[in-house]
Amino acid sequence: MIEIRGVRKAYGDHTAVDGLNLEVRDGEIFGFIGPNGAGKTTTIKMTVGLLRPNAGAVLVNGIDVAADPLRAKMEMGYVPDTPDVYEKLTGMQFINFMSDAYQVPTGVRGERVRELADAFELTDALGDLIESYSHGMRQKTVLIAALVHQPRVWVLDEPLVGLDPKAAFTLKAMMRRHADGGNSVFFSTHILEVAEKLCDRVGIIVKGKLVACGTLDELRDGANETLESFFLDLIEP
Amino acid sequence: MISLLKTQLMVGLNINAWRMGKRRARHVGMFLLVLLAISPSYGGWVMLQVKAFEFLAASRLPLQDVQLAGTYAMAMMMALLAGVPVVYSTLLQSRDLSILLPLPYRPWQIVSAKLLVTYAIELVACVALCTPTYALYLRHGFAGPADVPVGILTMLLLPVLPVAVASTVSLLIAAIPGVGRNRWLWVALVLSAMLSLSLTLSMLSSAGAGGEMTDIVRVRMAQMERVGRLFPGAAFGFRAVTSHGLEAWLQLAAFAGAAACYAGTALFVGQTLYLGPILSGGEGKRRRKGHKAAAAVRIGMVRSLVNKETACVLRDPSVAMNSLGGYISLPILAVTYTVMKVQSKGKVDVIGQLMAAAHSPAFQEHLPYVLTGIAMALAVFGTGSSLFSASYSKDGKRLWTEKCLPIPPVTIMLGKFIAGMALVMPLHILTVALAVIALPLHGLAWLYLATLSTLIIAYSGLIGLSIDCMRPKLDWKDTVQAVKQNLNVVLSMGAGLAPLALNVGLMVLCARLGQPAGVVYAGVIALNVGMLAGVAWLARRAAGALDRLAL
Ligand SMILES: Nc1ncnc2c1ncn2[C@@H]1O[C@H](COP(=O)(O)OP(=O)(O)O)[C@@H](O)[C@H]1O
Ligand SMILES: [Mg+2]
Repeated sequence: MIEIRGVRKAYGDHTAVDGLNLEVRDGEIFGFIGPNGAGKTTTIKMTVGLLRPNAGAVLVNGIDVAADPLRAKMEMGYVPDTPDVYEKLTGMQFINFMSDAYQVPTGVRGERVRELADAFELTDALGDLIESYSHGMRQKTVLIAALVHQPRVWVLDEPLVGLDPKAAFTLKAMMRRHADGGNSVFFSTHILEVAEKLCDRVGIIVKGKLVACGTLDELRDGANETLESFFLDLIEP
Repeated sequence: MISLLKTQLMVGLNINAWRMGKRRARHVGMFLLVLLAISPSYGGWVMLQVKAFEFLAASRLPLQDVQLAGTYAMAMMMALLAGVPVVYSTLLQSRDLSILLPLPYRPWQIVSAKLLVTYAIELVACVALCTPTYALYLRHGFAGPADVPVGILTMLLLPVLPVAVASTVSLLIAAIPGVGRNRWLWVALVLSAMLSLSLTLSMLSSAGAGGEMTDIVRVRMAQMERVGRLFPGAAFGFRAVTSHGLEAWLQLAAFAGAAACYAGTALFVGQTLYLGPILSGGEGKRRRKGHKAAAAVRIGMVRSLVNKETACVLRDPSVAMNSLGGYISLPILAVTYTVMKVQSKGKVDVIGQLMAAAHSPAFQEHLPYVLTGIAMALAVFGTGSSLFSASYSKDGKRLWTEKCLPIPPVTIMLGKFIAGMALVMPLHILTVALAVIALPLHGLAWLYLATLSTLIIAYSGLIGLSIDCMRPKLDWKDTVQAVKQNLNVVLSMGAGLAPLALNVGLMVLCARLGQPAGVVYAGVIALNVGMLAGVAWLARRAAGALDRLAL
C-alpha cells in the first residue's frame, strides 16, 4: 500500500507537483496517467526516495519514506523511466549487486533470476556487458533486478516503453498476478489503452495536480465514454 | 558533398563554439592560453632556423637544401604521429555514422570528408613548422619569387602523405579481429604517439650553441631527411622546393601524383575496412562470452559495492587512466628522464643528483624531516587523481540505483572508499618499495614511510569523496567529462593541501624546538592518525548529502 499525502515538489519557482493526495491500495493495479511533463516521474521519484518532497509525506506499507528510508525501500521494487545502468557491469553482475542490497538469500536467488530472465528472454545475454544491450534489454535487466527481492509494492515508471510485445505481455500478466496476490502495483503510463485494460483504478495528473481518481466506471460516471475521450476532455476543457 | 564537409569541419573543429556569444570568450581564452603555452618552443624553433642559416652562410657549408628538406621531413613525421590520435577520434570514436550512412552520400564521400578534417588540422601544424625555414631559404637567396608557387603548393600537399599513412595504419590495426577495437590498445597507441611527438619536439627545438650547429644541421637534419624518404615519393617534394624553373614544376607534379596515390589508398582502405564491416552488419555482432551467467553467492553489502566500484573503474579506460593517473605518469617520467640524460650527454641527470643528495651526510642528519617529505611526495601519486574525487560523479545518472536501494549512504561511501584504496594500494606499495630500495634507509624507516604515506592517501581520499558527494557532477555524456572536466578533482587537491601544511607546520615547530628524531616521528604519526579520524568523522556527515541529492 502506498499513501501519498499532500505532497508538493518545486524545481526552483516551477511547481512540478502540487498538493497531491492519492492512495494505492493492497491488491490493486493503480495507473498514473497524464500528459508529458505533468509530474508523474516527479511523484514516483518522491515515492521511492530519489527526491525529497518540499511538503507532505509518502508512506509505503505504513512506513514513512523520509523518516525510515531503508525499511521503506525494502518494501519496494522500482523501475525508472530511463534505464541508466552501469554499462561496465554484465547484466548478471548488476542483478547480483541489486540482490545483495536487498539481501536476497543465495539459496533462492539463482532460481528467481532464472525464472525472471526466462520470462523476459534475457537469459543468454546476462553474461554480456550492459554496454552492448539495447534499450529494451536494459529495461528488462532493471525489471529483473527490481523484482528479484519479491517486493510487495511495485513502482514502475512507464515500464512498457521500449519492451517488445511479448515482454510487455509478460509484464502485464505479472502485474495482474502480483496485484491479485494482495500486493500493490503503482505504474505510470501515457498509453491509455493499457491503463483501460489493466488498471483497477487510475489517477489523472495534469500540471502537478490530481484532477481525477477512481475506478474506470467511476470516472466515466455511467456515460459510455472511452478513457481516451474522458482524458482529452479533462486536459482540454 | 559540400554540406557534408561543412558539418564535418564544424563538428571536428568545434567551430560553433567560436560563434556562440558566451562560449566564444572561453574558447578564445583557451586558444590564447594554448598559443602562449607553445610559443616558447615555437620561438625556439624559429630561432634555431635563423641561427642555422646564419651559421651555414658564415661557414660556407652548402647544406641549406638539407636544412629545408629536413624541416619538411620533420613536419611529415610530426603529422604522422599527431595523426594517430586525430584519426582515432574522427574515424574510430565518432558516433555520427548512424546519422551519415543513411544519407544519400557515397561511402567514399563520407570517408573523404572525415579524412579532410584530419588533413585540415594537420595542415595548420605543417605550415606553422615549415614557413619559417622556407622564408629563410628565400631570404638567403636560394629560391626566387618565381619559385614561391611551387613552395606553397608543396606545403599544401605535404600533410597528405602522413595523414594517409596514419589513417591507413590506424584502420588496419582497428581491423585486427578481436583486439583491433580494444580501447586499452588505443589508449596505449595514442599515448605513445603523443609521447614520441613531444620528445621529437623537445629534441629539435632545443636551440644549440654555435659549436653544435654543424652537429644539428649535418647530422640531425640529414637524419630527418632520410627518415622523410621512408615515405616513398616524399623525395619529389623535397626536390621540388630545392630546385628551380621547369624542373621544380616537374618534381611537384611527381609529388602531387604520389600524394594522389596515398590519398587513394587511404580512401580505399577506409571504404573497405572502415565502412565495409558496418554496411555488411558485422559491426553489430556481439561477442558472446563462453560462460553462462550465474547468480552469485550472496555477499556482504560493502563487498558487493566494492566489486561494483572496481569493475566500473577498471573496465572504463578513461576512468581508470584518470583514477590512477599519478602512477601512469611514472613510466612517462622515466622515459623523459632517460631521454633528457642521453640528450644532454649525461649533464642533466635529475635522479643522479637526487641519489647523490640521498647519500650525503645531510640526508641522515635531517632524516625525520626528509622522510616525512618523501612520504608526502609518495602519497601525491595516489591522491593526485580523480579516483576518489570523481567517484560519485562518474556514476552520473546511474546513481539512482544506489539511492533507491536500501543501503545507508555511509555504507555507499565506505564501499567507494574501500574500492579506491584497493585500487591504489598495489601501485602505492610498489612505489614505496622502489623508494625504500633506492634510498639508504635503516631500521624501521620503511615502516614509517609506508604508514605515513598510506595515512595521507586515506584521508585525502575521504576528503575527495566528501567533496564529490556534496556536489557531484552527474550531467555528462561521456565518463571522460565526469573525471576530466570536474572541478571537484581540483577542489579536493586544494583541500588536501591543508593537512600537508599542518604537517609542515609541525615539522617547523619540532625543528625550532630541536626535538629528537623519535619525538618528530611520533608527533607526525599522531597528527596524521588524528587527521584521519577527524576527516572520517566529517566524511560520515558528508555522506548524508546523498539523501538530499535530487536525481
Ligand atoms: N530536474 C528538474 N529540474 C527542473 N524541472 C524539472 C526537473 N525534472 C522535471 N522537471 C519539470 O517538472 C515537470 C514534471 O516533470 P515529470 O515529473 O518528469 O513529468 P512526467 O513524468 O509526467 O512527464 C515538468 O514541467 C518538467 O519540466
Ligand atoms: Mg516521466
